[in-house]
Amino acid sequence: MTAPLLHVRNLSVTFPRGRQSFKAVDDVSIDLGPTEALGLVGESGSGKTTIGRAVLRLLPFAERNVSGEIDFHGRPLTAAKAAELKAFRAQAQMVFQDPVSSFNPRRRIEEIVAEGLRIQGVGKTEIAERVDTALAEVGMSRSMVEGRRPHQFSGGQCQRIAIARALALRPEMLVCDEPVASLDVSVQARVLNLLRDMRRARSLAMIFISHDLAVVRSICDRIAVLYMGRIVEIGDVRQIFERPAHPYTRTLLDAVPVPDARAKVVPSPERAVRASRLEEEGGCAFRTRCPFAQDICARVRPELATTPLGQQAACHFPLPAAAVPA
Amino acid sequence: MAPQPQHTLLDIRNLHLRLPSPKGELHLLNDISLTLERGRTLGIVGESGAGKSMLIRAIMGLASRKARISGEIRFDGDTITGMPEARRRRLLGARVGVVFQNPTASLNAFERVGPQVSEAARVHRGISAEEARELAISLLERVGIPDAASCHDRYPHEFSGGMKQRIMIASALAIEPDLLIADEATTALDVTVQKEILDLLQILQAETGMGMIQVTHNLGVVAGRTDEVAVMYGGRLVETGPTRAVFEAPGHQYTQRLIAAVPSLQAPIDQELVSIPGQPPDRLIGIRACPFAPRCAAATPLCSETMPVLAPAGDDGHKAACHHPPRVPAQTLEGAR
Repeated sequence: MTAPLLHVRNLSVTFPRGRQSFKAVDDVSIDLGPTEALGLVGESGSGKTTIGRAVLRLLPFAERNVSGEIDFHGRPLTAAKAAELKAFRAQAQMVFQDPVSSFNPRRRIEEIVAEGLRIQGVGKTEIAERVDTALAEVGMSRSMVEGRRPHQFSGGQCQRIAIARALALRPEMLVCDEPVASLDVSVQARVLNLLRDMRRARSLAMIFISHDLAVVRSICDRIAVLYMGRIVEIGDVRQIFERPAHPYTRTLLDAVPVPDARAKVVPSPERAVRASRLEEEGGCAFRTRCPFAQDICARVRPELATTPLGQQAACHFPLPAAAVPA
Repeated sequence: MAPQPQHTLLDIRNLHLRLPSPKGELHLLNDISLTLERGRTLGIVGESGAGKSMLIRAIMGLASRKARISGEIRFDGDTITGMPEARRRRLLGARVGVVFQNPTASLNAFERVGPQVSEAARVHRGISAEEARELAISLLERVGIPDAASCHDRYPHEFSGGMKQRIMIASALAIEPDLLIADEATTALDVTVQKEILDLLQILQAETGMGMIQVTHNLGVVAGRTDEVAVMYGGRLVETGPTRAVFEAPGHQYTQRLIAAVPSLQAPIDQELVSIPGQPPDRLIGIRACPFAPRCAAATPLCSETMPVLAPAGDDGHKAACHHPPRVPAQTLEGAR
């Protein structure tokens, strides 16, 4: 692999909860190549959003609660001063889940798209040019948006505007946090196709955060599956989908609603028992939900290790390839 | 399965709903006819603005007072359209449970969850405080809340989104409803929690024999979990029929696209996803042609001139309103925008 654009080593993020503390991210290491798209997948509370915000230095009280190294272009981001950070903001952009609430409702769309450029001190003519280009790239035009405000657009259109706002800065890295979770299925595909095309056209590096594996499948090269703040499996997109090694990855795949009505779904009465996050416990956090858990899973925390299938999984009993239906 | 004598729980005939607006009268629901038998599950599917939630509001008598409603809705034999409001509320409140999308907004943040669960039963059944507590605890247990007795006295913020939605289901079950309506009840949840909640609803329905309506924008949620499905577009019913038949051979171009738009785990990884270009109609005033025509790849001049009517598209009441019903199975649709 060429030198990574983003290099994260042993990242941990802790939030105070009363007198106790809550480890949102626990010893996560990832590298992101200059044109690579990495999916961060897991349920609410898995730490995926916190990682996304940490690598953009968007966490409140970041210095106090964050440990580990985050390097961008080989330079430590954690030590960056104001001027350096401002330059970084042009190189790394974010697209949020709810586009409407990430916009100032009283601003006009062309101002919203231009905002980052203005902050970066880009000249007026160039701002106009870059806003036009960015809007065109997301399938819109100045005449479509001029003088209008966010509420006059649908959720899907607002998300495209949010992408245009990020692209206008010509970033090298884009962090997308559940960008399609609040959209209709019919509109999701359009936004996903757009992000995929942008990635290729702009040679963008991308971190794509989602709770739904089916959504990241068409966009990402690699997938990291997170459970309670830790990476439990990481590998190439084909490895994760065709031969998942961690039982949690299997659980996530089984939960994807598929449009297949040939057989009736047989409901399971089981409710997953999620371990407490406040009490620091040894062992594997997923064992309370895992059908394959043994005594060792309660005693020894599994570390990420390369499986015979090629990806890395943190599991004492990784699934053999044969156990997974093709 | 041999046909059994069935008992119609909900019977909607030629329902229209119009709402005055500054731009003219909005035709929000147009000629909707649907039935639901007791013990069956109906999926109502469509994009935002298709009229799904408006239909539920019309059934529950929650539509705006300014709305002009015509047609007939019968619930278990009683005509509820035109019924005096107080009587309708008593009837439906005692027999229909509804679970909405956002449990945080539906629960009262300042009230303990137990009394909220038993509220409908206290109002409609007049049970004592002690009975209410017992009922709430047993319902919380039934929907899979661990340690239900101590949860009775806790507040909503102490629970996760999935747990809050379980609490909402428990409160909808308090009246032992004949009909349970889940309006995008799992849309805001993680896929794993969504699966648990859908499974729970399916189990509860089998146990109680109630009728159920699942309202969703995702066809993946109703596949394999409903008996019938109704697809709405632009305030109209564009396709309806047995779920399996609709998925196997959709009779409407829109349905086929909606099925294809659900991200698949089987399609080749680098294949472009199927999306539906354009926007759904937003004006809903005096539409006289196929409302989907401007977004439809198969549209011909006929589609923008004449409104297609619901016509048989298969067996067992499968109907669709499309001038050019699709001929290829949804799975083989090429990626297109």
